[in-house]
Amino acid sequence: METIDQIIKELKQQNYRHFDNFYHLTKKQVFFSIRAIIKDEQLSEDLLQDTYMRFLERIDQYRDGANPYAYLVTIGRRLAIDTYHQRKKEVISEEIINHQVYEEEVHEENNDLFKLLDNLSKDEREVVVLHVINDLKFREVADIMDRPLGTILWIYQKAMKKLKREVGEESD
Amino acid sequence: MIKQKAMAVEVKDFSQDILEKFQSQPKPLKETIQEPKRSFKLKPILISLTLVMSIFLIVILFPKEEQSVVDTPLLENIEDVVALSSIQSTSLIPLLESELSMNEGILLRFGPVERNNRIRDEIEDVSKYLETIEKLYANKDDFKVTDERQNAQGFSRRMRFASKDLLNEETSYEIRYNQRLNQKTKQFVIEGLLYRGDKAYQMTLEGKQGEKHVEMITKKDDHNYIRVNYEVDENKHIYEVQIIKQDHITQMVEIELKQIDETRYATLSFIEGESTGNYQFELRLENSIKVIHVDYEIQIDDEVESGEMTFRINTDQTPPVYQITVQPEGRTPFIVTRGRFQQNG
Repeated sequence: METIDQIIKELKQQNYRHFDNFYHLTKKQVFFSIRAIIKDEQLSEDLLQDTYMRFLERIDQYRDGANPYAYLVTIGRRLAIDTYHQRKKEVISEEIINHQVYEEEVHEENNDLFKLLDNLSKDEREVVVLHVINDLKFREVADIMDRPLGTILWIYQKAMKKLKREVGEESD
Repeated sequence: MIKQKAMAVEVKDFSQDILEKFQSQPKPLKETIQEPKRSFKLKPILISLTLVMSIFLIVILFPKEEQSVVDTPLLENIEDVVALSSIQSTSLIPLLESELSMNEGILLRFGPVERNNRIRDEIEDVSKYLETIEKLYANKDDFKVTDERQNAQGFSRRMRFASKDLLNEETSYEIRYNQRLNQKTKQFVIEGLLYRGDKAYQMTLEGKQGEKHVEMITKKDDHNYIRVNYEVDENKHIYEVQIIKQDHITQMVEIELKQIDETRYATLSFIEGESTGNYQFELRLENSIKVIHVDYEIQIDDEVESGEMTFRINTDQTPPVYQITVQPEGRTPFIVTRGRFQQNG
C-alpha cells in the first residue's frame, strides 16, 4: 500500500488513482478540525469536500516533506473560520427578524462526542481536536492556530479540566 | 476516551464526489510567456526618458510626506506604557551585557530528566521577568511620570518616572528625547537616551497618535537589543518582549495584563527560546507580607505539568533573594532559591 507521501507525489503528477486512499487516511483529521469550529454536521461535510477540492487545486503549493495532516487541517480550518464568521452574521440577522434561536443540527450517532466537545469554548474545542484527536504536537497546533505555544498549553489544560469535570477521570 | 470516541465516528466517503467535481472543473490554461526578441527601437527609449522626467517632476512638485518636529508631548495617555516598556527593557539589558554567546544562555534539560530539574531551569528563565512583575504590582499604574520641554544635549524633551518594587525600593528613570510626527499618517517616532542609574541606553519608540500600539527598541548596540511591542486587545494589555543577541531572537515572551474586578493578573508565556511554560501571576498577602503567587504550566516531553509556585522575598540575606516554593500537581513540593534583581544593576 502506498504511503501518504507517495500518493501526494502521484497527485502532483495528476495521477488520481489512489485519491480514495488519501481521503480515507486523512478525512477524520480534516473533518474534526472543521467540526470543532462549525457545529453543523451537514455544513462540516460540505466544507470537508471543499477542503479536498482546494487541496487538489493548489497541490503544486504543497511542499514535499511537510506534514500533510497539518496542511489539510490548515485549509479546512480557514474555510471553516470564514464560514463561521459569515454564518454568525446570517444567524444574528435571522434572529433579529424572526426572533428565533438557531439550533444546531447534530447527527444522532456522533452526538455523544460532539455533545462533550460542545461544552468547551471554540478555542478549547480546536486545541483538543487538533492535539488529542488529530495527534498534532502542541507546537503544530500553535502554528495552525497562530497563537503562542504557552497560550495553547494554557487552553489545553483548561479544556482537560472541564472535560474531566464533565465525564470524570475517563477522559484522560 | 475522546480519542476512542473520535475513532468510532464515521465520516462519509466523499472521495468519488470530490474527484468527479475536481476533474469536471475547467482547468486553467497555463500561460506561456514568450520572451520578446531584442531589437533596437526608439519608442521605448523615448518612453523611458518621459518616465524619468515625470518622476523628477513628481519629486519636485510633491515632496516627501511631511515630517515635523512638534512641541506638544506625543506620549500623552501612553506614558505608563512607555514607563513599563522601559522598566522591562532595562531589566533585561544586563542579559545582553554578558559576554556569553547567544547559545550559552540557560540551556534547559530535555529528554528523560527529573521533572523538578526541568522546573528549576524554567524558574531561572522566569526570574528574568520578575522585576517587571514586581514593579507592575507594586506601582499599580502610577509611575509618577513627568514629561517636559528641555534643551540639553541636543534633546528637546525629558520624561522622568520612577518605579517601586515589592520591598518599596525606588528606581528612577529618565528619557531624554526628540520626537517627530508625520502629520498625514499620524505616525510618530521618538529617539533618545534612556537612563537608569548611571547607565544610558539608546532607545527608539514608534507609534501612531491616538492608538495604543507602540514598539520600543532599547539598544546595548546595533546587534544586541530588547524590542518591546505593546498593544491593547479587548481590554487586555499585551507586551511582546524579544531579546535579540547578535541579531538573533534568543527569547520571545508575551506578557498579558488584565484586571478582573480589583485583581490584576499578569500572564507570562514563553514563545521562542528554550522555555515553554505559561505562568499566571497574582499578588497575595501572607501575614501582611506581599508574595507573588503563580499558577504554572510547563510542557515536559509533550506532557503538560502544572502546579503552583510562591515567590517570597527573603530579606535576611543581603542582597535579598527569592525563595520559591514549588508545588507540582500531585507531587511533593520543593524549594528553590534564586537571586533577585539589583535595583541599579
